[in-house]
Amino acid sequence: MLTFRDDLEEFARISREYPGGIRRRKSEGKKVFCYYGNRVPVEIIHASGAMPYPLFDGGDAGPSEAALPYLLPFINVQALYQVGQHASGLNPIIPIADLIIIDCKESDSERVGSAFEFLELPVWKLGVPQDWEKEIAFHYYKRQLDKLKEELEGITGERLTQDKLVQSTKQYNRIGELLCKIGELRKEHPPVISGEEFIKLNHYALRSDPDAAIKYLEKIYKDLQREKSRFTEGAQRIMVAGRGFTFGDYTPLRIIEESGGVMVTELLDEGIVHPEAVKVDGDQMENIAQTYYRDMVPSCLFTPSWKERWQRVDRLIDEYHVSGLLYYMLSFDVIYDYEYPLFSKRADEKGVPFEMIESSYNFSREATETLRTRIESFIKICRR
Amino acid sequence: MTKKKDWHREYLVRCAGFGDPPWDKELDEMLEKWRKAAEKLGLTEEEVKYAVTEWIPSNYDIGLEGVRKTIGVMTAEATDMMMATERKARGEKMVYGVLPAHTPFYRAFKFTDPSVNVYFVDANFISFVQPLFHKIAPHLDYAEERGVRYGCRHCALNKTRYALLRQGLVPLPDVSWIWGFICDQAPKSDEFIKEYWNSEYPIIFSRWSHHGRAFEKEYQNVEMVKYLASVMREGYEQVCKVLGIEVDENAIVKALEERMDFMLKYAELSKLMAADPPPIAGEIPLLLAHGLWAVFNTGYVYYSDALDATLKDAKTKIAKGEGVVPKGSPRGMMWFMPFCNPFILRMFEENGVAIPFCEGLLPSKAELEPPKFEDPFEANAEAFLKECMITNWGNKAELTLERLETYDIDFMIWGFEDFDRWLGSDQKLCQAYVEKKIEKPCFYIEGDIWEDRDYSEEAMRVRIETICEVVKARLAATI
Repeated sequence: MLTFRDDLEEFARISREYPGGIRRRKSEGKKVFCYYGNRVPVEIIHASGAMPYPLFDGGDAGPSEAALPYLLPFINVQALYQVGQHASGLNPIIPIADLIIIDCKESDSERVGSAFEFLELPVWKLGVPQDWEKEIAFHYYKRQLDKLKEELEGITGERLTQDKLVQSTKQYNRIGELLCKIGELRKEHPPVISGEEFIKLNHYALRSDPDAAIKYLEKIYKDLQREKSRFTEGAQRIMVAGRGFTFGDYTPLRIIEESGGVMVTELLDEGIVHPEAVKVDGDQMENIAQTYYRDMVPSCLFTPSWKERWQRVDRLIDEYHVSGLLYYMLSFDVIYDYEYPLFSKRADEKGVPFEMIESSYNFSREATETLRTRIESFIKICRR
Repeated sequence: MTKKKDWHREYLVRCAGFGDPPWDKELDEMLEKWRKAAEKLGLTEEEVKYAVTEWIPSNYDIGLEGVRKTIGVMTAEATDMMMATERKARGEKMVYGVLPAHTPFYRAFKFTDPSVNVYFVDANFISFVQPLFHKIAPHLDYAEERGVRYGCRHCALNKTRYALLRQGLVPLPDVSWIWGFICDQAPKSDEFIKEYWNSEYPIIFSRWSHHGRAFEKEYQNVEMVKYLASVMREGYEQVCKVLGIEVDENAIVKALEERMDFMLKYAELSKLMAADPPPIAGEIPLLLAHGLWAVFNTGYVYYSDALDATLKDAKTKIAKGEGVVPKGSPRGMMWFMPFCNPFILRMFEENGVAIPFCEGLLPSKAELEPPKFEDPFEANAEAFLKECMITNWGNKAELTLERLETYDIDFMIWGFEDFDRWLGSDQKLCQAYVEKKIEKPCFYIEGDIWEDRDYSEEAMRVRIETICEVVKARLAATI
């Protein structure tokens, strides 16, 4: 009988083969749409008949350096990474993309789009007004999605019908639902799945065909129900907040676990499947806009957002019996750099230990050991 | 026994234009206000003396009335700002604006109700205290000790606003109308101030996702203009409601016309700056350009006078064939001039090279054309989208090419905005694009226009000397 770990490894293999599959199918005439940012609805891309490919790689300092001829050194390191990765010839999909859709809710992501424009790549900048509570802003976003839909139809030559949108939405809803259920298994103590594994499942799901993702997530959910935790009773239950862990950026999560903690819940904006189900009755474009703009946790970049984001963190801390809040900061991520002292203050008021760790994707021995010391100290504080 | 010099008075007379007519009539009144402002700012008599005798004369040609009056404009506004707390206590209405805001709306508040006070607290404060007294660092340090980390390279403007508010140097306004069209940091800084420090801080957000494609002329994109206009209208109406004033569209039209008149006059100065040699140092026109992107609670009376005096100075110098460098010297343009650290421009001049233009603030040809849209909000949205600071990187690069040609500039420098995810982050793209199109030398210098804690004067001197040598060699090779 296959175990959780066997299925996880198999899912990893499927996900790793996804780019190869895209390249093969591209040569057969299939269209490829890359997307960057969590306000680009993958449901629309998938429904268009094209192959979606999320851009959110990181975890290695080299490619970020390669972006410096085009961008400032002080924009956030994962934005630099996307440009540097392409400039270094390391991204297998960007060069063959028929369109790269950029979520323009922030300067840094918009600049990734600008650098791609400079490099003569096909870029579509999606306008995402940040004042998400306003009616006019919602309608603008909705119109932007309608325009995107028209653009995709123009490229694929196929009509993006309501039926196709509903079908695609149902698939991604199922993925979100399964990941949500898997994530909630971490309410048990000790949890049966680690934070690193959970983040990887999200990444594999984002970089797989949705049918394959559903198949493996269903198997894994079943596996986990009979899985025994490998963590001890004394493992500290850590919540992580921040922009997100990119594909390939797993070292901090590993160090948490090696230090006697386990990430049991998170508030991450990117690199994670949104758990909010999109409605499937009525105008599907409207439903998608509603979920991506209003129902998801407001992005850190939106205004206002911090009150609501902290309320979410506060609730998760209680629901998941969190013993410490860790903020994962990417270098020069200037808006998140405002969020962390706010969360630190609120955590203090709530009596929950707080720590911030910062990454420039430099995981040299020296940098890693410094990070380890910091996390170990934090876990010790959580134990008290 | 010699009488002890009153350095505050000396400052106003020798450096700030209050010894010149007609401002001299206000000298005593201004001196009283200035003393209080200087005390509040922590500017000691000794520091004022140093500014009068060393810092300002070595960085500005205060022999020119236009220069003195330009310094006077900034001084008058900072002095007025330091009285804002008393005004607020007296019940006067107050609204703050933060870059990148569009100034006519803020002027329109004052046209509608002259008792409303409008301050661009951070921009006008830092543009006074750093270039003239080299003293922004304590305020930045203050903010950094209270949640805004030094290491993340936050914008000095936002740190300044936070520090001024938290130190009580300016009061909580009735409303901070914060825009964040393109810039994320400004609105999120205000949200941070409210959430981290004072929940009473009243903010109205007006935001817009900048998604213009490369080379797209956003001001011709009807949907974009109309949406931006609706955002502007919504924000404006909210602010009017808070201030208890009516929404007067005529006031908005009047303010837009005033801005256009000012821009046309400013364009005249830009033309004079193209003379060989440039008649005055580049940061003076830059300081005068504040009237295009920030609002002064003191209004435009001082401003117009300073601009007129500067135009007169420039014409006189040109007639005499005089300038900041010898005739025939190389002339460069910076995308944004580090005007708060004036010693940088002096270093260029000491090396026989002039930097007469700050490109980001030069009105483009499109900006000097009347608006196509008739609705006052749409006309303002159109004007805003024409601005060089607002448009996409491709248009910015094209504008650079336009200006290099219009003003016959020898070389171009980007940089000094490495902290600025809004204005700085596409400069390398612009540089690469411009370099491909023309054969003029292009440079990029890491740095910060607002402060100089991160680089030493000597390190900058070495870089500038090298640039000047390269420019001279390149020019010599093309003759």
